[in-house]
Amino acid sequence: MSVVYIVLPLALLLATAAVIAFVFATKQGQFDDLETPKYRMLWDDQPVAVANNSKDDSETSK
Amino acid sequence: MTTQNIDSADPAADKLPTLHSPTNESDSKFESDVRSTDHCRHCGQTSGVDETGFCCSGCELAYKIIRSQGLDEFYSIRENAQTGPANAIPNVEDVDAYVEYDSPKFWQENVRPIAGGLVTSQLRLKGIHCAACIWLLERLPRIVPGVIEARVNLPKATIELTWRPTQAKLSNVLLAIARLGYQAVASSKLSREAARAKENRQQLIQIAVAAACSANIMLLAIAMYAGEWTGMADDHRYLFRTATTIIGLIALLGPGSIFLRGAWSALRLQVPHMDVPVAVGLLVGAASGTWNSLRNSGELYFDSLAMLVFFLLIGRTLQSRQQQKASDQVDLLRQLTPRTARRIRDGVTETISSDELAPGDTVEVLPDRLIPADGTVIWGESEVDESLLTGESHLTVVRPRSPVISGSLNRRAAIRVRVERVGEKTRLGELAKSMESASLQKTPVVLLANRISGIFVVVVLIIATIVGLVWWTIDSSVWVDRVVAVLIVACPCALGLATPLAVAVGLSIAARRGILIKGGETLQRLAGTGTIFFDKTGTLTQGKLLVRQWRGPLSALEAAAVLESGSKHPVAETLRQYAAQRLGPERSRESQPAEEVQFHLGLGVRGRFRGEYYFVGSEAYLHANQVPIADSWRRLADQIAGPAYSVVWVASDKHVLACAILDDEIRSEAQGVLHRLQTLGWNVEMLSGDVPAAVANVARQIDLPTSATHAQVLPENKLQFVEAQKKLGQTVVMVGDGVNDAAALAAADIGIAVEGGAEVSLQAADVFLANGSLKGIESVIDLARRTMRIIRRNSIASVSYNVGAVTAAACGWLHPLAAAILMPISSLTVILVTLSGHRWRN
Repeated sequence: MSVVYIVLPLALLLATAAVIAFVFATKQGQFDDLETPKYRMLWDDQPVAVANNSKDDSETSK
Repeated sequence: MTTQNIDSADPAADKLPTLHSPTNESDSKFESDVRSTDHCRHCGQTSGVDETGFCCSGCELAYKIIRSQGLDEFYSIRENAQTGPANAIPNVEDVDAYVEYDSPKFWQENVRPIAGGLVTSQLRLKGIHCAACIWLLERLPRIVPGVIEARVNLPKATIELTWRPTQAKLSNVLLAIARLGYQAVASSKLSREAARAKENRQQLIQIAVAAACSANIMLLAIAMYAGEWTGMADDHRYLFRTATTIIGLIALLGPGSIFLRGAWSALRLQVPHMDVPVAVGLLVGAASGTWNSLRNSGELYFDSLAMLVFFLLIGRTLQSRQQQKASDQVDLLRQLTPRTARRIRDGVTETISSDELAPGDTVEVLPDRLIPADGTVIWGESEVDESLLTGESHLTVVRPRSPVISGSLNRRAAIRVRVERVGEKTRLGELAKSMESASLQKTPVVLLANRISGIFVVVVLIIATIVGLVWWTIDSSVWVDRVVAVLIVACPCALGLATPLAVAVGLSIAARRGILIKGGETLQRLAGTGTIFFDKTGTLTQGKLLVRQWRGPLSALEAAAVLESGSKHPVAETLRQYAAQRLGPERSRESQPAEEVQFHLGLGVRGRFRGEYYFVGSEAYLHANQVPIADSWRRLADQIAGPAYSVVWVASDKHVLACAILDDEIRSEAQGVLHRLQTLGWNVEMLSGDVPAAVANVARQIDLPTSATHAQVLPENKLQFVEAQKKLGQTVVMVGDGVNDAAALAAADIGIAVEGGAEVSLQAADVFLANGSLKGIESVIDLARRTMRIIRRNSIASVSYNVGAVTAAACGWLHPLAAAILMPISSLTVILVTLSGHRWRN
C-alpha cells in the first residue's frame, strides 16, 4: 500500500477546502470591490460603536 | 439600538473641520460664516469659511505649500478645468432638488427594508475620486442623524446607505451629500443591480473552480508524463488517471457547461458562434477521455481541456466587466437631472416628483428649469428653449394659451402651465417610445470571430471525416483515436480567448480617452465604412451663439452689454461675453448701471445708460419703436449676414448705432473631422431640424455639399432617413445630442451621443463622447479598425497553430504532451499580439 493513496486524496481535499473558502468569500461580497478597502485601512480613527451594530443587523438580514 | 449618541460617542469628530454639520441648526457660528464670507481660497467650498479665507487648517496649509513652491498657477488652471462637474451639482440651497427621492415610486424601485426598522439603498455618486472622498462620505452617520451606515465603492462610484426612515428623509441625506460637494443619483434599478452583482460573483466562482481544477490536473499530469519516461507502477497510474478524470469532469460540467449551453443555443438559433467549435472539442475530449479512463488505456486530454475552460472564462469576464463599466458610466451621466415639478393646488405650491403629475394639474415652472409635462401656459410670459426636442436654435416666446412641450427649458421668467399630457403620452414620451422600439428592432451583428468559427466548424468536420476514412483504410484499430485527436486540437481556444481580450482592451483604451462604448460589436461595425448622419445644433455646432461681427463703436457695445446685464437670454449672454472680451473685464464691470430698463419678450430691451436712451434688439423691435434703419446699415447687414444669421441692432432713439451679427458657433474641430471621415471612406450627411438657411450656412462653413444636407427634418423623419439608408445595406452611424435624435440614434447601427446631450439620447446611443470633442468619432473609428486588425491577426495566428496541430494529429504524430504544451503557447501568443498591437500606437 503506497502513501500516494493517502496523500493524493488529502491534497485534493485541501484544494477543495480552498475552493470552498473562496466561494464563501465571494458570496459574502468580499470581492465585489477591490479598490475601496485599500483606502479604508489608512484611517486610524475607530468606527463608531453604532456602525458596528448596524453591520450585525445587515448580516442577520441576509 | 439607538442613534442619538453618534455625535457624543466620538470625541474625534470635533477635531475634524470638514465635519461641520450642515444640518446642525444650533451651530450658529457656522451659519453666519456661510452668509458673511466667500469661497475657501483653496478648495472653493463655501461651507465653514472663516475670516482667514479658508474652510479649514488643512486647506490653509495646502494653500501655503502651493504658494511656497511657486505653483500659484495651480489655481488658475483649476478654474479653467472646472467646467462640467462643478456646475452639475445642484444648488445646495435648493431644498427641493431631491424631493423625487422621497416618492413612493422611487422607494419601490430602489429602497430595500432590512431588519430593525432600517432601510438601505444604493446610489451612484458623481465627483468622487480619492481616498479622502470615501472617508468624508463614510462619515455621513455623524453628519446626518438617522443615517446608520454609509459604504462607498470607489470603482463603481456608488454609496450604500443604511438609514432609519423615521429619523431621516432620503432627500435630506442627499442634500447633505450635495453640501459635501458630491452628487448622488438613483442607481439603476435595484433588481438589475442585484442580478448583475450575482452574475459577477458567479463568474468569479466559475473562474476559481476552473483554476483549481486545471492546476490540480496539471500536477497530476506532470507526474504521469514523468512516469512515461521513468516508469510508473500500474496501480499508481490507474489512481492518477481516475483522479484526473474526476477533476476534469468537474471542470467541464461545472464552469465548462457555460460553453456547452452557449453552443446549444447557437445551434438552435442557427447562428455561428465561437462556442460551437469549443464545445465540440470539449465534448469529444471529455467523452473519449472518460472512455479511455474506464478501459484504462489511451489518452485522457483532461489537462488541456481544463486549462482551456479556465482561459476562456477569463477572456469572457474581462470583456463583460469592461462593457459593464462603460454602461455604468453612461447611466451615471444619464440620471443627473432630478425630475421634480412644482404643483399649485388650492393656492399652495408643493414640490412633487414629475411622475405624480396628472392632466389638469397646474404647475409653476421657474426660470432655468425644465418643463415637466406637455401643456398650455395659463399665466406669465417667458421664452423657452426647445432645441433639445426640435433642433431649433432660437428661443420660442410663450404667453398664456401657448403650448409648451415637456423637456424644454424655461429661460426667462416663471410661468404657470396647465398640464395636458404627462409621462409617456407627452411628445417626449412618444419619442422615447419610438426610440425603444427602434432599438429592439436592431439586427444583431455576427462578430467576425464567430463568422470565422462557423467556417472553422465545417472545415474541421470535413478534415476529421477524411482523416477517419483514411486511417480506417490504413489501420482500422486507430482511426477513432486519430479523429478524436484532430477534433480536440482543432478547438480554437486561442481565438476564443483573444477576441474578447482584444475587445476589452479596445473598450478600456476608449474609456481612458473619454469615449464610452456600450458593446463589443460596436467596434466591429465602425471598422467598415458607411454613412454618418450628423445632427446640426449641439453636435456640429456648440449649440450656443457667438458674435461673428460687430459693426459700430465700442461705446454702443458697452451700452448694449450693460442693458442686457440682467437677462439670461442666450443673445444677452453672448453680447456680455463679447463685450467683456473686447472691452476687458474691468471696463465692463466699472460701468454704471442702466436705468429704466424694460425687456420686451422675444424682441429686445430698452433703457437709459449714461443719460442716453438705447434700444437693443431685433429689426422688428426697432420698427415697433419707430427707429429707422438706414439703407446703408441694412445693406451692410445683408451683405455680411445674409438670411442665415441673427442680427442684433443697437440704436439710440433716433438712429442705428451698431449691429452685431450672431451665429451658432461651429465646433472648431468639425470640419477637420468630417474631412478625415470622408477620406476614410464614410459618406457624411447632415440632418437638422433647423431652417434651411441656417443649415446651408453651417454646411458652407464645414465644406459639405448641399446635396448632403437635409433641413427641417422632424425627429420622426430623422428615423426614416436612417432606416432608408439601412435598407440600402449600409452601416449607418448617427451622431446627435438631443431628444430629437434619440429615435434615430437607437435605429442606427451605431448611435453616437455627444456631451451635453439629453438623457434619452444617452440611453439610445451605443457610443458616448464624454470628452465633448468630435475628434472622439475619429479615434473610435481608428480604435475599431485597430481592434479588428488585431482580431484578424489573432485569427491567423490561432488558425495556423491549429492547422499545424491538426496536421500532426491527423498523421498520428501528436503526442498528448505536445498538445498540452502547444495549447498554452498559442494562447500566450495571441495575448501578446493583442496587448502589443494596442500598445504600439497608444
